[in-house]
Amino acid sequence: MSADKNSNGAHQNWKVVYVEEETYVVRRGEIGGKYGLRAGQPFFLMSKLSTGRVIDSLSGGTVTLENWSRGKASQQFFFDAKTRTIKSMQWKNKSLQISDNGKGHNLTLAKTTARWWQMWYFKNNQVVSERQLVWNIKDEKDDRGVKIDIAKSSPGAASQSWTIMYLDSLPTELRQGELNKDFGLLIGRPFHIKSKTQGGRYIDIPAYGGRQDQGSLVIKIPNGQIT
Amino acid sequence: MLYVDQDKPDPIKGEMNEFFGLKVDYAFYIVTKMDSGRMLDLIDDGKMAIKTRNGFKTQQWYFDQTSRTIRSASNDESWDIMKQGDEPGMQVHKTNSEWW
Repeated sequence: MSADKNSNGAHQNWKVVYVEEETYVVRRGEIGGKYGLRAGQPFFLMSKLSTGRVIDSLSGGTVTLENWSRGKASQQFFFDAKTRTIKSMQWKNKSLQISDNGKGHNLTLAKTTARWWQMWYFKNNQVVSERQLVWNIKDEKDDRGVKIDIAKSSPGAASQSWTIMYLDSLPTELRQGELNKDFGLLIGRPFHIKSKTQGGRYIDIPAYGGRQDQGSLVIKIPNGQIT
Repeated sequence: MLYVDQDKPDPIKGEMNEFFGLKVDYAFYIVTKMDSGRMLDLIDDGKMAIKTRNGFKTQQWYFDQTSRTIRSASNDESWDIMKQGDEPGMQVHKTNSEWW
């Protein structure tokens, strides 16, 4: 910054914005303008690839795809309206960023600096950086532990499409004995699997020489055993 | 000659100092009118730069009526032309209320 002669160019023009009179103030729960995220509300970032895995973070800053676990804080993030970054619920002084201060090609978690490589906008199901690069799952590899790339936008690609799942919008967790409609089973309630063949046998874990074989199952006459 | 008890009182916190065009002790940002809309920021060693808005106090400033200077909300030091006004660079420096 230098003190130069007046030339009245844009580079010499400034506006004073008083902090208390600022119009752009986002309160908890409100959408943060162009950022497309609700301020201060924890959420999961779920891939639109078929298994619906979510973004997870490790203490070292690595960000990968993982199976969704409702109570896991390292999978939860929030939009911080003050710094305009996406912060981790597990490490609240860290934000999602492009690796190597914007020079890298991976999504990582690092100490919040609120520089451009930590700014993200959620629009049209993509998470877009200030320089129009997006989160991408390389080769659409829908596996646990897969890292997230920073790539050019391909609108509509499932590998670049994400769903924001806010915690306060999730259905309440099912309790013991209640039906999980997705899986069609009652929670925590023991059951037999009964064959519809004439014998009506049950699936059983066979025992060989006193040791239960973990590999294969058989059908047997009901025997009252826990197997 | 201006008798002290007849002098117009200094503006207090939140009031406009008409001469300097700034409200007293009222934090503000300085936003460039270039397309980026970045904000004046205090970086290392008292240097100033425009940066993406980050919500930190290093981007907040206030006009101090006592010293008639613009001070940083982060370290309370004042805007200053380098080398006591001899060099074109701007910095944030210990308050001395000199013309620079």
